[in-house]
Amino acid sequence: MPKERRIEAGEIHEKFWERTVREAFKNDPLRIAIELIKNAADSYTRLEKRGSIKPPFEIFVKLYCRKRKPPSIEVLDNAEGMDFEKLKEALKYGTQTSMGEDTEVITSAEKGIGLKDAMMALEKNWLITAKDGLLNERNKHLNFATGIGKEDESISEQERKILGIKNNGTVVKGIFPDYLRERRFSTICEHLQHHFLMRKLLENEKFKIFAIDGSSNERTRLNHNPPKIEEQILDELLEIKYNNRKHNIHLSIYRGVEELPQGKPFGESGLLFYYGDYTVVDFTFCRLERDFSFSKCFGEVKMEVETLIRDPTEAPLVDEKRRGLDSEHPFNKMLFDEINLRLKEIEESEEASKYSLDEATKKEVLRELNKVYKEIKGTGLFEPPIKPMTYAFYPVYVSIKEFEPKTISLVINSTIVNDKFEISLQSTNPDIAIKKPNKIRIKEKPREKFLVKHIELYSEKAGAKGEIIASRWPYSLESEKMGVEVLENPIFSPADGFAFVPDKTSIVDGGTKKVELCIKKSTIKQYRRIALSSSYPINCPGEWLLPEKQETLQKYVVKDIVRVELPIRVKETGHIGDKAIIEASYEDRISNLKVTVVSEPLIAGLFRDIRLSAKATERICSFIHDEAVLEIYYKHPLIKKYMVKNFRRRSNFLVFIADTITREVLRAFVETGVKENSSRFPIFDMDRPQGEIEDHIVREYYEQGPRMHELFKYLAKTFKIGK
Amino acid sequence: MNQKEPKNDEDIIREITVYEGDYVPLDKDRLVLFTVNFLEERAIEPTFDKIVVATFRLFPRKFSLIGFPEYPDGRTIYYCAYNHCTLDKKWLVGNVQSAFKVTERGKYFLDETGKMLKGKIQLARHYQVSPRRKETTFVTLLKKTIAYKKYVKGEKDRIYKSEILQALRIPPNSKDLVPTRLAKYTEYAHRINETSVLEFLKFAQGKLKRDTNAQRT
Repeated sequence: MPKERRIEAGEIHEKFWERTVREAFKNDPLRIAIELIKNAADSYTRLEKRGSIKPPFEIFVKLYCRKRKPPSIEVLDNAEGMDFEKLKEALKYGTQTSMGEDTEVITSAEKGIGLKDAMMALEKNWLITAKDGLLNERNKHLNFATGIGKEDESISEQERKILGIKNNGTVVKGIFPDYLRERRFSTICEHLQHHFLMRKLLENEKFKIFAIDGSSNERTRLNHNPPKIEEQILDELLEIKYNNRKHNIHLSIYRGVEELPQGKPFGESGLLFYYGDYTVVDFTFCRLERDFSFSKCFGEVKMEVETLIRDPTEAPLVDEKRRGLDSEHPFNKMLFDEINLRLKEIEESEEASKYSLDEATKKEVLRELNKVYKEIKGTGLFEPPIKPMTYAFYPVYVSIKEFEPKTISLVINSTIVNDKFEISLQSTNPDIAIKKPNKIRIKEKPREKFLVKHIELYSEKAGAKGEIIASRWPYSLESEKMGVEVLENPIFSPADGFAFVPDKTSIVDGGTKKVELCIKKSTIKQYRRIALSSSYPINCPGEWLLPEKQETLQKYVVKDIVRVELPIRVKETGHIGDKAIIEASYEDRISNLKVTVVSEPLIAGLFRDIRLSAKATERICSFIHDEAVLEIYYKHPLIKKYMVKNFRRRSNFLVFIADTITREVLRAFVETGVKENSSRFPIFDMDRPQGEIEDHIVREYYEQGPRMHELFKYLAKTFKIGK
Repeated sequence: MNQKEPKNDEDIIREITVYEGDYVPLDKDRLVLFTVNFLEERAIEPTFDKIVVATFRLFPRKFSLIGFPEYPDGRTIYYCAYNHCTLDKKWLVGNVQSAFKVTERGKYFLDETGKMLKGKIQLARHYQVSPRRKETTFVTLLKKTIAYKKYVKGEKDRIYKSEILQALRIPPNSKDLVPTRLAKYTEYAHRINETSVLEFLKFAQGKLKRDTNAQRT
């Protein structure tokens, strides 16, 4: 064994410490200030434990902000202060002297961040402390050397006034490193108030933490207001058995009123892990981190782990880089398992009402989807119908209902249009009227090759037949004609002169609608009251009074029929399939209307619903053919990845969702089209159709993709929590 | 003296010759309507079988079977006469058991059809000649491919092998399908008399052969 002859001092390069400190704070430089504030709070706590002081405990954070340079900071407390020896020890690397809440707790310096690191992160740093009338000043250099100012010198009143130390106390000051991006006083205050590490301290009524704007001396008390609680979901005391010791864990979880931001350091949705009164060690939802299903939830985990932390043989609970609880630590593993178990239960019990899409938007999208499907699997695009050499009616024959106008078209070849072009229209039957126009005049030569002019026809006589003749007489003898027949309108022939028309109707579950009661005018006498009654679940007015004055009554009259519109509605929902009768009676006449409650009838077609599902599948979304439902699995890791803060406004989330759904929808289009033998998707090799199906999907993706993307982006923007 | 017996309906129908105007652009429903009226005008009761033969004789290019131009496509005529003209459009009344008759409404469309056959009105939409069967469908699809379009434009040198394979709906790793696909497409093109497609297929065959030989050497 060689013999040691002399010892050479260890060499530490400045760059090493610069790197170490930067690593410790680079992601979250506000921790520098928080470390200093917490040290001040710890000092007050120790004094309180000894019974030498009573709350409130004031901590002052003075910030001198500059526009283009990082601000400087001063953190002042009037707590213990330090004497020469304690100060010397506190600034030594690897010291056992606690700057923590509990005197027995191992200093955080061992884990990479502590007073020394915080000081070294600050440029031109100084720690000035007064205890028992003696002043000590020290600073830390990046090579870990300690600079010494005053040593055990008596503190004058003037000095006390300048420093703000009344009796004993400490001031730590310096300039923030340039990686602190915040430059404004208000922003720094806001971030400090929302920082998860500050939360328990700010909620603790013993402490009053003030931020002071150095330039204006404006004083702001820092506060943290927890989110509004809708309900407490869990309040449980767990026991974690570790190394033959039981550790109590108090777990409380709440559901907030609204969605909360997620993630460290400013998120509100998560569990705040802490020990003591305010020492926060992590803010997480364990393995369900950033799970959108918990974005309304928040809570606390109070850990009685002081003995565990105090044990020097035990590995630190907090990971080396101080990102939070070390998930590899066996105690933390057990803790996370227990918490996750409960979170899963909560998640499952709340699943049904978890997410939804805006109903109106969803229906709009579904309607559009079904329209697109119909369009693409159908016979093709609608083209201009006819191209006449001169002009022609389209269609050449039309059926109209009495008292209901109908529009037909006259297609004109623009080559025949000259300066005084005019076509006159005539009806061969005076009972069939051309409402507008009677003459078609074209003043300017049109650009289009064919012009389409609309003509409105109207008749009040059922059974009338006739023709509409279009001619250019006297300029040309040529004419065109079209046939018209007038069909009976069922509203004018109510049974017994008093009837609902039609006598059967359906109504959407929970919906409202108007039904028409038609009364022959001749049956109306002096008596004004129409009595109405309905059976469950339909609700209608109990009576309807006919207007007294003839002029007012005339407003309801068409031909010889008085048309009364009656509002009806379904009481609440959940009555699909129920049948009811509405009875209307007037003198000795009675009419019944049969009403059937139906589900939303508007959505018909390939897609009937879009559903958000919590199923854990390998797919992101899938079309359930049997149910005609498109399911979106929001628990898929890729969806969760994009469901971060303000995801509804983030283009990456919207594009991802839109594209994924588009592909699935187009697959459904093609597969269903092939199944339905749509001619849009011909298959050459019926025995092996898959390759050709893929080709069809690709083609549809290029043709329909952009339109679908817009549609689903629109839908994805309405993704929300709760119903 | 031998008095000539009046011709029966069948004989008259057998003597019908092909309509001389351009009937190809018109839709088949109108042509069936025209035929029913054609028979009515000749005092022939438009029973279904008479309609089938008469329609075929008047408009053989629109109502013959693929590969069998000498036979009428009864299925198509049935769909036109009953499903479309009678049930949907109400241009005709009747059914296969009762024979058919042009309605008042139908007369207006008949008049319009007459103008269309005379070229006074053109239909914006072009209706295909052959019935929509497998042959027509796939040959039409082939005509929409890049390879075929380049071929028609005379850009033969710019047609890639992969484009030909795509046109023949052959997946990239299934070159063994080339002979059967070529044979099938040739057969289909022959049936519907698509000469330009036949030429293209000949070219495709040559090109694929050349490429394979070049790869071997």
